[in-house]
Amino acid sequence: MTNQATTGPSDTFNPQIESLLVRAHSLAAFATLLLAVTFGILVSLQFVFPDALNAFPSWGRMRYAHTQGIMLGWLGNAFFAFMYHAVPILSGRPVTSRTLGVAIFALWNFAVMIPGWILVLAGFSQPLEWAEFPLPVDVLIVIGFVLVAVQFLPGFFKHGFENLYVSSWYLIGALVFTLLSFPMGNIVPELVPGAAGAAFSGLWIHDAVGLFVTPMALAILYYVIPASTGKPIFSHFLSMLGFWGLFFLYPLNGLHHYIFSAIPMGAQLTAILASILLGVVVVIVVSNLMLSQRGAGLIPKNIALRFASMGVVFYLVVSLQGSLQASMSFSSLTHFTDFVIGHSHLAMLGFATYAGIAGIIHAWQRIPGYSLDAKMLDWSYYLLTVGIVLMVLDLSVVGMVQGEMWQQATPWVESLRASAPYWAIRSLTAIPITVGFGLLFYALVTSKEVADQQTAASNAPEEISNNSDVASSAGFSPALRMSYISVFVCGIGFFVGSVSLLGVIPLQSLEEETALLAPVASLALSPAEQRGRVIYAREGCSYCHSQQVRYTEPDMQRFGAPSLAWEGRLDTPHMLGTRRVGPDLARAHNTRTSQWHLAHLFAPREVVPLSVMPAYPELFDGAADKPTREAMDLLAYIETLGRERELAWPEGDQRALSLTDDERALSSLNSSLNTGLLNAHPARTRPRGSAPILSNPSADVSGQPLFSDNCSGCHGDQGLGDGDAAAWLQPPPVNFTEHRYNRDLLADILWNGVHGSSMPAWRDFSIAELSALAGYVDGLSEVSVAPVASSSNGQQVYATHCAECHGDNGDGNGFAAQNLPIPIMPTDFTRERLSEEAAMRALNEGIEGTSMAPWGDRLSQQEMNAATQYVRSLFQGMDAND
Amino acid sequence: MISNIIVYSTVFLALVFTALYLLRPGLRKKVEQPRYTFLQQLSMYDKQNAVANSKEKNSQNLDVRKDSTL
Repeated sequence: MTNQATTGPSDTFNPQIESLLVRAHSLAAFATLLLAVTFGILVSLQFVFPDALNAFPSWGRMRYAHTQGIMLGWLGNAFFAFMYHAVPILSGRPVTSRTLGVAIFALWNFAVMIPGWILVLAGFSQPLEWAEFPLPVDVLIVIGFVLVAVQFLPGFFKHGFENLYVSSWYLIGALVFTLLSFPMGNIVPELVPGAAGAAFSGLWIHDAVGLFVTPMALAILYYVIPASTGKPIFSHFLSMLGFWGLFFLYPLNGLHHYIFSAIPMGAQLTAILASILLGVVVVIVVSNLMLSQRGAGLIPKNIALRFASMGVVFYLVVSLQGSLQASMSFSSLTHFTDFVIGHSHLAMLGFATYAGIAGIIHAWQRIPGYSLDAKMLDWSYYLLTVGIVLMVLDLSVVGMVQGEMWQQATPWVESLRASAPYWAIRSLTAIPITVGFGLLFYALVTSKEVADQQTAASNAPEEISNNSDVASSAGFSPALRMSYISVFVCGIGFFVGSVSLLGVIPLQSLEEETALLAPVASLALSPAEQRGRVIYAREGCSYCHSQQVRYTEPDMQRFGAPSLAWEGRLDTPHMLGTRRVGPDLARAHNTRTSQWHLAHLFAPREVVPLSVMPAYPELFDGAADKPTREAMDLLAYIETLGRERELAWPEGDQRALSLTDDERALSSLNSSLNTGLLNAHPARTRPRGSAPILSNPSADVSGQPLFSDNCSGCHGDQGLGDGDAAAWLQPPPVNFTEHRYNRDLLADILWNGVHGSSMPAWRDFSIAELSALAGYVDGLSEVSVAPVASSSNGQQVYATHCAECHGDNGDGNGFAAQNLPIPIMPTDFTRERLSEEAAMRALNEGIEGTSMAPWGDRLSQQEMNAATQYVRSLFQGMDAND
Repeated sequence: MISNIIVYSTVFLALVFTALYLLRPGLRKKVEQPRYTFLQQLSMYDKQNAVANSKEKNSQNLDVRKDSTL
């Protein structure tokens, strides 16, 4: 249907609105929105019911589908629907071609969205935020944007720059700058590795919002508000000031996603500064938009205006949030937390979505013969507003909680426990949001055909300003025309400059730093590790596990030395990540055993009871000890994370220290060399560090919940060594009732883990917590500390058969101890006593997963009894000085 | 250094634009013109739309009458 005007006061004003395409894109927008929201709900439910979603595609894939669905499916279609209504009116000319419009619709929905989703859910994707669709789909998106530009822009060029209304400027800017920035963000990170690639990726993350979504949304707001009130906007001057401010400053913002990273500090500071300046510009834009609504009331009657009005409020809040988050102090607290997720939801689901809805309602209400159910729209507005405000508040609060806990030496799982109620509330807020969107969709689908006069009357603005004297003023000066064109060209130049400033220059700088500091011999990924990397990317692991230790004290304490640029020189595309639900993995190399990882991948909560990580049973043949090749490949890749730095340490760091004068590289190298902080969880990699001296458990900290949350998965609820994951681990977890540990040994095990076993280091815990945990474990023991009598026969058996590994005096440091086939140190009997039964069993049957062989067929029962008594007699008491 | 350039150039351009806007009434009028033109365009569209719809309706009525005479 073409809504064509054949007569009019001006011969040059000849808009032809392609109503069919308005309706088609509007319906497609809501259809894709509901699907994208469904993916989002499933993603959020993972945190509430972690094991309930095993029947669905993996979490990461649905997360990819969610974000791409919102940005391209929902907002893309919504913006196009609005443009089919607005551009002919703004330019006074029809769009280029209806046939082209049908082609764009088909391309966008049937060649981009549906195949994109199918590919992502099938595991073909890019692990890049807001760029998750794979490259072939990206090419189609670029073609789509080119066609959209051909469809909408010619009318504006014929119209003349000097008379363009601000909405036109935003629409032109959005299309031109998206065409420039989309290929950069989607293709360059596939070619440029590590932090340098992340710089381009960061630029796109913000350009997607700042150069596509925001201009389109502001175009709608600047259009719908005056069209609904019947009054001109407050100031076109302020609107243009805001327009140029946004397009000059937004491209500079992107790197504020990587503050405290290996990206050069100059580029980071530029992004921070631009973000703060942008806040000033946004205040100008919002003030203008709010003043343009004067007289419309706090909650306007006109439903399109009401959505637009709330969109303006959301825009103000989200922009000020953004400026705040870019500051270094606030970033160190909230980055990687759910605060950022709340921020992005406020931007995309609040500001942009409300603008999109306003645009669709405004356009739909002007399609001749169609009317929307006002009550349904009312309900939709209130449900959506309540849902989105609650969701953003909830995510903001939980983000602050997480940030605060991560700043302290709080165990990681404690932040999961603290987040759980907030995550549940967040999922509940999806109910009003989904119902609200559903009502809107239903209102469009069931829109009634009514008399044209009625439609026109109900949608007519309350007042049409007649400022004919101004409107008919003399023609525009060539100077003004030239200045607009010049500034537009400058804007494009500034975009190119910003990419150079924040992408190309850091790239060169990082390449120089890498060439200087990287180990001479490069350790490339093996084919298996490379395949594992693909799986890691495919499943979206980097959306919960970052791979960058930032230059902040809490990060270094928790994870180790901050990441250097060269560590990611082979990572294409980068997987630095921008969120942490689970811990950072940049130093994962060699901190846990293969069995631990496999058990954790197969059934995360059987190893870490509070974990919300998705299970990956599809990578196994029915059990954790039956991994498929994919599981082994993934494991191989995880083992590479931090490996090169580990292998280069300390000689590599010492050499690099002597070569560089870069302040942050010096800081990182010094921290790894002087404090031994290369890896804060060195269970298997470093010689045992000095364990803290544990105190007597205080009444303030209970060991039982700590044990339950962190240890019971392997050691069992009662400490019997029979936890859910125990069957998959060798050596099996210790049965604490059969062991008595000296306090020093217990501190050492908790602080350093047990080399060669699945027992990791627990350095997240405070001394008080470690003391409480040690006290609780000690309380589980049924082994007496009373002296045990021994015989000379026992000593002789020990000296003959055991001392070579366990040492002459039983301290576990015999001459063969360092060269055992399985690298687990023999038991130190001076600091650990087994029950008589356990010692006898170990001697008779050996211990699986260790080098302790069975002696039952080589020693008599009497000899074994004597040896058992002897080793138990070696225990020197609970304290070293006992 | 680069940060300073960005701050100063952005503020400078904004100040120049603002100063010209305040000091040149002619320019002010021209810069503000599009907000009125836009409303006029909306108004023209609504009028044309109403005319086009009524014509369309009339032709439909005529078709119905023709059909009925057949």
